[in-house]
Amino acid sequence: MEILGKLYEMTSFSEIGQDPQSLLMILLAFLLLYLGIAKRYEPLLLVPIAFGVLIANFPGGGMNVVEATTENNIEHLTILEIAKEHGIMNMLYYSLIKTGLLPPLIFMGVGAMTDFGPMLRNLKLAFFGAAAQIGIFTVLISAVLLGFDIKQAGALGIIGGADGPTAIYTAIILAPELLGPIAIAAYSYMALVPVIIPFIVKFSVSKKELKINMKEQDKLYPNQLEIKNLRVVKIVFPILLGTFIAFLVPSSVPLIGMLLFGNLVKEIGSDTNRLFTAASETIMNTATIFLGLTIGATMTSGTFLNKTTLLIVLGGFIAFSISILGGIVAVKIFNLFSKKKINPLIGATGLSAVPMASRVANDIALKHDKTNHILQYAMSSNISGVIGSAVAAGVLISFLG
Amino acid sequence: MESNLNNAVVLFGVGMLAVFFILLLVVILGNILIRVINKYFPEKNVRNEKPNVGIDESIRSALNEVVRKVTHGKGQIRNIEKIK
Repeated sequence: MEILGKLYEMTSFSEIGQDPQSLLMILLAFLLLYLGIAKRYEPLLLVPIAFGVLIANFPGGGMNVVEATTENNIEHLTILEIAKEHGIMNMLYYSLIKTGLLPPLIFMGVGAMTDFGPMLRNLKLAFFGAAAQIGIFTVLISAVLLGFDIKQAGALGIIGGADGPTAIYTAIILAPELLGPIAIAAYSYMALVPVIIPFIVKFSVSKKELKINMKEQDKLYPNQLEIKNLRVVKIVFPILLGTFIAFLVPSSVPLIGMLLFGNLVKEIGSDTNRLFTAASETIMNTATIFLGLTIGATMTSGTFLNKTTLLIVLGGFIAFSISILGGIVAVKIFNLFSKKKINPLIGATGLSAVPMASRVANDIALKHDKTNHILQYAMSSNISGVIGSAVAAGVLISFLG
Repeated sequence: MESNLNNAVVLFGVGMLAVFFILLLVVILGNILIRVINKYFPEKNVRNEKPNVGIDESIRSALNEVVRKVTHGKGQIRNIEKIK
């Protein structure tokens, strides 16, 4: 009987009995895995996050991230001590996430996979990437009204930027206690871009506006500035832009600087091809795995199953929707004063979520006019949205961090 | 709560202005850069690309990009013709 008792203690059953809510978290992990694998919702991040949730909530596994308190003094321990006392997941979390290392590394990979060409060819459309950041700041105010601390409100609002690494980076600095739900909300809504953009467009854009053909507008009012050496422009642009932004919004440099560096090694070409491969594949993939797993491991029943998480999920959706609407309204205002009309779908792609938002906008445009390929135009505001959300994050961090 | 709200409203204004200003800078810098490079470093084969009447600009730039990638920046497209 004593042996049976010891066997029972060895298994997880006794601990599940003590914390039955961990079963709910395991079910949530299964749901997220299903969405990532079967529904293909951002599988590259959702699968590691979901698996992180799963292993963190196996009772007795010791893979959950422990919140830093004055009692455990975890933030003052060495990496070795953290690994020894709290396990390898905490070692990864406190060395890679708490230091803010991984989001800039992912931004470097994003930069290496980004082509600034469409934005440089349609520079004026970059403004709509600014308008689409309005959701971030609107939700910041709403979250304060709902009773969130202003730092938490800033971290919540940044979900409206539709940029996973930016949201995570901001949350790490402003509200690390909300990192798990914010990451889940940000990536879930990014995955739901094909549903959310058509939904907002349906209620805010007329059929006549959806039929505005961008190429016909270009023929009627041609772009006066032809690029005679795109390759050189693409190489100098990240250097020049990075230098100016570093002076104006230095707090956004960890993100924008790494994004532009990644882009530069891509644009240089064969001479830096090995760096490009490392940034866009090796480092990017490694960073993605550790980011997903460690963020998932922060989501235990104690930190996730509460009213705050629900408010974050709801607030994130509102931020996302307002950002899309902000871009659309900006285009509509522009069209009132300009002879050259712009399809409001271009404004809807002002939030980051590159390139999915552009693809979705292109599909909607093609449904209304089979010749209206707006992908190149949408990419312009879409890419500027990445810069815009990183700048917005920089402003929030400088004021609240 | 009230001071938090005031700060949030101020951040709304400052944040949106900062984002617009930086993207305005992107537009201005991009324009200046393109003009300077057009004047001092124009690509030699620009004239050769002109006769490609009927080839969409986005298709042409996509093909240029593919050739540049495959040849590691050494190859250039001089002419594109539609095969009937």
